[in-house]
Amino acid sequence: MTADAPDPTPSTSSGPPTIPPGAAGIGTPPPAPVPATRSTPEPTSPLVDEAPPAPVPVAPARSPPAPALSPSVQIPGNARRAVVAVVVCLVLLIVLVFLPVVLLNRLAGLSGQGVSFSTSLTTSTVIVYGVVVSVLYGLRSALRPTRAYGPLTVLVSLVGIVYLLYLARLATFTIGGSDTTIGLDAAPFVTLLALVPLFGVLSGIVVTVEDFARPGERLRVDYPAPA
Amino acid sequence: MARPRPGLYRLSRALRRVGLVVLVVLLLYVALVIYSASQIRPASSGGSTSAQVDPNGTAQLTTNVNLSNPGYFAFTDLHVALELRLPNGTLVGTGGSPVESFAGGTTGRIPVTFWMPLSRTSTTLLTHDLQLPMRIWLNLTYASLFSVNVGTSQNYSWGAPLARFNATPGNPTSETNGTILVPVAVTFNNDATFALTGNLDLVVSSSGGVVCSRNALDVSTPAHGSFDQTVDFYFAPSCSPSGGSIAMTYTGMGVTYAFPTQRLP
Repeated sequence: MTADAPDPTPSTSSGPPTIPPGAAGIGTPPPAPVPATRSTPEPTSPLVDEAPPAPVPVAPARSPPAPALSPSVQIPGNARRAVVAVVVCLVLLIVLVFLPVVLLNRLAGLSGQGVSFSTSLTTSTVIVYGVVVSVLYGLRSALRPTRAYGPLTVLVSLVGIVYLLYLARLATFTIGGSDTTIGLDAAPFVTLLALVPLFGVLSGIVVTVEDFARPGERLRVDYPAPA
Repeated sequence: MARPRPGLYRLSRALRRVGLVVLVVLLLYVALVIYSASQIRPASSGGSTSAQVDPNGTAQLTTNVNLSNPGYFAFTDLHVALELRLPNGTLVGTGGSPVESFAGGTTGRIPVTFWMPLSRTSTTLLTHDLQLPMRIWLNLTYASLFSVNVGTSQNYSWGAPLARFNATPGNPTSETNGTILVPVAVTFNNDATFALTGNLDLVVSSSGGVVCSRNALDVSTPAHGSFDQTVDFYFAPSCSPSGGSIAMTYTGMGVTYAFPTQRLP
């Protein structure tokens, strides 16, 4: 979906590359002004689906003037995005896998104290779905500057909906003592929770449409270069 | 300088934010529900308990269960169901309550009624005080989103209406007209929570099975009352009750119950 390509507009700074609007990789970038001097920019840009035209050295006096009112775009480097993706993934693994599994095991361990706990929800279900959702969210985070972001948002939200609807069927919990049992059916609540990723699906669709209809538009706002 | 944000961008951002708001609202709602549920105290049985026996012989007992809902959310679809069994596991009665709702911050009573067909299921209930295993189920929906069911076991103290029934024949005495008088003392306790009415039919037979004499007693004993009466039987000299038996049958409140035959000395 994405192809690494040379940064069309290397920055003179030592930070991440600064890309003028339209050259952000989503869509066909216009010719960009090329500075006379070149520093050591990020060697690649993950943004592009089509390779931008190779930078052509042009004399500064003849280069077209940069659009003064349009903000430029500054995409974080691959390494930084990978770190963010891993952090997102780890946080979600803790929330969606670690804590629920610990809780389920704690409740299951109550049987040694004369209290029984039963549920249709298994730790393997939690682990499998939790890992899938966490990894997809991490991947989505890493690919945010690309066209894959919208479809991935739709995909991860759909997976979330499926997970929650599946979870709703299993969300019955029974805890019992010697002569009293208490059962809880949280299916309506879990089903209602599926509204949250539903908005994610809608948002992902809009992002996808935006990225294909107006390439680069989103990046100007998401990754504005410092003035 | 703030950059103008495109319409589609704003829409996608707004949708994401709405999703986030929905998530936060739901999580806050759950937190509030948990806190609210922690304020609920177990129901207690209270108030008056009424009992009666239908003409078809079914004891109907009604009690009120007090329930306090100091939380913020309503109990809806609240329903109690119960069943009573003999110690050997035989089902002797079922009951329940109408479907009720309790708004948050209210207290109320749920009328719980159960029915025990005295004649059909087990006549043991007529003569024996028992601890009957009772299973109670309470189903409700809390805060519109959580279905809760509570099942608990208790023992129900059943008081028999003809508890410790006894018919004790006295010593036969010869009357001046040649007949033989045998007094029979009939005693029992009505340990039930309802009054007992009916009549008692007593038949004394000789050792050969010939009916020598019969008599009847009207029975009317209030709840938790006792009955103690003596019935006199006169026998013709040709029909000796010695070595015979006495059969007793209670009829009333839709129930006909034949006590075990007792041997006469």
